[in-house]
Amino acid sequence: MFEVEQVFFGIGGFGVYFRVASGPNTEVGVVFPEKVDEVRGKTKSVVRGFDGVSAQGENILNTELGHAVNQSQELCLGVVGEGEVRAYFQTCFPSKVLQAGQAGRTRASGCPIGDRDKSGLQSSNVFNSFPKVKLRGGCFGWEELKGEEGALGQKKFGDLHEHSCEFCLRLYALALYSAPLCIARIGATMPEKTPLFEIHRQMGAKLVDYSGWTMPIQYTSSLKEHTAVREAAGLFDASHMGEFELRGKRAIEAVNHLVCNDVSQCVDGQAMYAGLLNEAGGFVDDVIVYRHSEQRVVLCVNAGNIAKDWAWVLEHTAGFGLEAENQSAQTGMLALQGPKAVEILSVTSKLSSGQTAGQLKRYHFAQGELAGIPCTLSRTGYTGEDGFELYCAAPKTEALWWALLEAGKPWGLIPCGLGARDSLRLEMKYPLHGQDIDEAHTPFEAKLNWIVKMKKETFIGKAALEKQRERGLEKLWVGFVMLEPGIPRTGYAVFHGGKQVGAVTSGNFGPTVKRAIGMAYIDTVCAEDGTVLDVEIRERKAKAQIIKTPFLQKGA
Amino acid sequence: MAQQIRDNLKYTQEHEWVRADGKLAVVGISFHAQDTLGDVVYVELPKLGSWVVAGKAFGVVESTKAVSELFAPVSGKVLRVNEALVANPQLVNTEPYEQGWMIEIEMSRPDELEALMDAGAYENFLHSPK
Repeated sequence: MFEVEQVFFGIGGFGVYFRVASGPNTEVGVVFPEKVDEVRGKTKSVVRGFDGVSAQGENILNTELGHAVNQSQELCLGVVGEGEVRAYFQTCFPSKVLQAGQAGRTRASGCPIGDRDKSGLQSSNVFNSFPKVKLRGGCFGWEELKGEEGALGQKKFGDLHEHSCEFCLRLYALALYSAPLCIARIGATMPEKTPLFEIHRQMGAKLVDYSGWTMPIQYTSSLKEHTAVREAAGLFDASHMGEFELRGKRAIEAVNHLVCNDVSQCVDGQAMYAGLLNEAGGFVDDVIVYRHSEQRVVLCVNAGNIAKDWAWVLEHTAGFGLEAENQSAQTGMLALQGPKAVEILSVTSKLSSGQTAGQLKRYHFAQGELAGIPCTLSRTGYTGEDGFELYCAAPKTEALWWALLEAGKPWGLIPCGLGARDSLRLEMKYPLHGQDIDEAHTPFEAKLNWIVKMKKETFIGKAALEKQRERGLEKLWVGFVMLEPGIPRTGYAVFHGGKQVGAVTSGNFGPTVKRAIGMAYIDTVCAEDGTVLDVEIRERKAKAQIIKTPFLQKGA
Repeated sequence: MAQQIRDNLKYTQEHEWVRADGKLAVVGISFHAQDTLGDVVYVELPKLGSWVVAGKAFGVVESTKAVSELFAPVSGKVLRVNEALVANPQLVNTEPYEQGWMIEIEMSRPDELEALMDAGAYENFLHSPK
């Protein structure tokens, strides 16, 4: 369920425009008068306006409207399909037909008034059946705009006044009536929530939209949370991650076809980091493969890629006679990370094998119980510290969370958000899919050669990787430290000898290494350790140097 | 919220504060601003003697999660910059109104202060819908 904090909507020549805000998320769209009967839902507060302008004259929608319509095959599904949107626009604004998915923004308000009258709104039965309502506040006089070509815009709305023409009154009623529709519609596109969403909120975490999920970015301070993981322990909600289970006689063979690492080298109860590659050798995703048995393998995939990966896995394992199950929604996942993690688990958990959590080797996992909750304990993580990732049934996640926080208190365990997760993985130069690695970059370019087993007979992407190896690499993913003030951020251009040689994929201040650090794909000729580069930070060039990674050298 | 907004200061819509004394104005960012930004890890400030213009960017503050420009509340010449922020940018979080100050300006047009919000107006501004 979603909760709407604020709804802005305006009414104009071709329907009701809305903007709905819920937490960090805002959606913009259009409701068409024929569709208002689909209205159902509720709202907390409504800011009323006209033609995208609030009663205070603030432009709330106009510049976003074109964008909204461009996105409408996503935004307006259920309200109006893509074809209808286009048909509507063709009727309304023949000179400005918007292509679905078209980039850029279009000012709908720039359309000639003559076209607006063709919108059909005024002759629509739904519209005309609305009772007139008394306007509160004021609206811009429709009559006054007649004859002005393309004159609607923010500046024209300076002198709002009471107005009561029949058109406006009906429009207003339509808007009031359709607000819930906007919200119901938006509910379907709101980001997903993990089983711990309410807990994050109660604990006062700052929430952000991350890969389509509402996640805590921090509870108190990202720096403090980062340090807790390096020095004691931190607990992360990782329930947004996806889990696919593949079962069948040829499970290992199928997964070995899917990924570039060699799963046949794993024993039962061992996990492996691997790349799910496309035919060109680029990363569809990076995954952890859990070999439960010869006939049962689980893939843990990135949250933002669940739908894409699932389709990919089904397509490419079709010939292997497997049973495949997407368990993402039914699975909760917590990451307990830090040097004290093992001690915390030793008092809370019991492994089925009779081993203690501390006896589990790195990248091994086992079934067990934690505070009475059945879970899979895996000695893996994304922080560079010792630690565990715990999988349980989604409804048990909350109990697991509290049990761990309580048990970990004496060791300094605190809840941690995505901010700390990001700076921790940065210091280790662990890639983030979608930012550091993607479908356009291969494991060789990302210097992840160790996860590619070219000796395997076959796997998806192998042929392309062979070619790339023969041809030689044009760019390499390197880590660098800033020698001059400034923090490298995603997208910043990187120069060498005055020529651009790459761009930053990730960067931030590294709280433990206490320097600004970053990663970038750099032309191979200047990608050697020690090379001094220039990172363009806000029109200024700041010196940086490629260094050996991980940035955090353990035991140094 | 009360102690998070200081009575004796003026505020901008971009959440900078100004402490004016005669022709001098000390500038920083508000409690609300630093709270929204999160942990500040880097602050970029103008050179001594440079000029800043009201409403225009004069520097940058970066947190672990975002980069944000600093806008000058008033115009004038930069007399002092808070060098302590270079080594200890977190002062912006811990003491936004004291040790976390950013620059001191000699105002060329002190009347620009009148366009800024006082504490009450700023509080209303923070609570009004965006």
